[in-house]
Amino acid sequence: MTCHKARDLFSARADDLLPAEQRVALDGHLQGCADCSRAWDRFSRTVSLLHSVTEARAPSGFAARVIGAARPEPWHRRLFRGVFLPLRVKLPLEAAAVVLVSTLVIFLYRESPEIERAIEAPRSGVVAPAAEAPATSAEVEQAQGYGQTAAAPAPAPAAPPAEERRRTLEGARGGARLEKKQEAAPAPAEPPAVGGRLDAAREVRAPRDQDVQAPRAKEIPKSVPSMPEPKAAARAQGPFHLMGLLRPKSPATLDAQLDDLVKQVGGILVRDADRVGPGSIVEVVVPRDAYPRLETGLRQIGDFTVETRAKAFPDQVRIGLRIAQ
Amino acid sequence: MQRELSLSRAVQPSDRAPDDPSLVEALRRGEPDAFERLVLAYQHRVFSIALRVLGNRGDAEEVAQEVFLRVHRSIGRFRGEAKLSTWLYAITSRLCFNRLKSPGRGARQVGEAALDRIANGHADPGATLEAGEMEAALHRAIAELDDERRIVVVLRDLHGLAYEEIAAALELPLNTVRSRLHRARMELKERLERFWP
Repeated sequence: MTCHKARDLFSARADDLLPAEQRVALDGHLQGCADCSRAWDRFSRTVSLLHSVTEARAPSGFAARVIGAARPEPWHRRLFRGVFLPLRVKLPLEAAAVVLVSTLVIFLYRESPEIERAIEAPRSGVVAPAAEAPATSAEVEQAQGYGQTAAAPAPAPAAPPAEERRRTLEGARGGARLEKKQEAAPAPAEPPAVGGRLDAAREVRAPRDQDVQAPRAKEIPKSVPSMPEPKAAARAQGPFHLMGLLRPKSPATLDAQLDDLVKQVGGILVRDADRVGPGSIVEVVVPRDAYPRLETGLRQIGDFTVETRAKAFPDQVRIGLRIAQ
Repeated sequence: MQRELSLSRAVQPSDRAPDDPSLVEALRRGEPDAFERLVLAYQHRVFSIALRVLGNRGDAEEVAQEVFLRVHRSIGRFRGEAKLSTWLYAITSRLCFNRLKSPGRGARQVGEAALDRIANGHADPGATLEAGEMEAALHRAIAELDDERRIVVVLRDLHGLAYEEIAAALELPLNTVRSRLHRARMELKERLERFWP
């Protein structure tokens, strides 16, 4: 046995794992080799020293700490940790989420006029549009009496003039539909004022004997020139001073006839469609002095009936004209 | 109060590990005192292995605690093919290696046990000094071993595990365990030459 081979067997010899044959051979080599014998002596001492090392003891209270740590946490602590911890990660995330949601809400608020109106209506004291709920017969009667309808939505304060006109015309159309449904309801003989805007339920609910024309007249500028500028007329706001029903003799030529007539009397014609025909509602603005000529012309075009009329006309008269078959 | 009494009564030195199969079954059934029995039975051994491998009491305590918590969490996954103790040593070894490889780990404190023993006192101050010096040198030598050799020496020579248990815990072939142990012992012999006649 070589010294190298002998020393490779030291560990197995120290652990008593050497087969008897190898053990005899190793012992024989150690008896004859002083260097290996000294090396074995030091090796076995080292192993004995290692075996003599006592087991370290866990610190006092270690078991109690481990057992405590293994116990399930109360639900509220788990919830708190789940929501807020680690703070460096979850706080920025939660802040970002709040900002994102806020931005989204503001965006939706601005982009959705319905939401804006729904929020603004209670604040300004205006009752929500009656179109959402069925109108009572009393309300319908009043609406017919004043040429108004409960179905017309309240205009947004910042709505552009074109939008205002569209709503006005839509409201008038809604009023016409309502009128057909409520044919049994008697119309007042002489309404005190004409409400062409048909906008707010507050106006709809005004008492029948209240003259709603007076405050509305203030909405029309007094310094309107006798020949209305189209733009100024288009911007004109307020109620119709007269609502009428026109049954044309010749629906095919009605559009041209109306256009000519309005031009002749010095007014302007605002259509709700490219071409005026049965079912249309048009708006005509004429100087007060020109109204008799307009009415005469309308009677020549067809069967013209005044439905509602203000007690007095302002300088510029706004006329809502429903075209029937 | 009842809990404190129970713990203080339970935290008694226990050199003898309880029967592994029955403890495993009790742990799997979720018996309230099973985990307590496990910690009490193995706390010193697990802590000691961690201390000898890491050479630092603070690190050793953290690792030992994590070992028991992992057992608590994953006892359901223990297949029972090996002994519970082998599984514990395997977890301990793995966590110790992870701790040794973690960045920013400072220099190890060596010879703490020897210093503790010196502080506790021996009858003969001269013998105490000599024994303490030798043991400190031994621990220093162990600490200076390569990590892979050190864990084998700690498990075999300091805690008496069989070669097969070490191979199972470290997931190594038996011959690898043998060769690492032999090289570690030879290296320690060289480092302790000055103490031998």
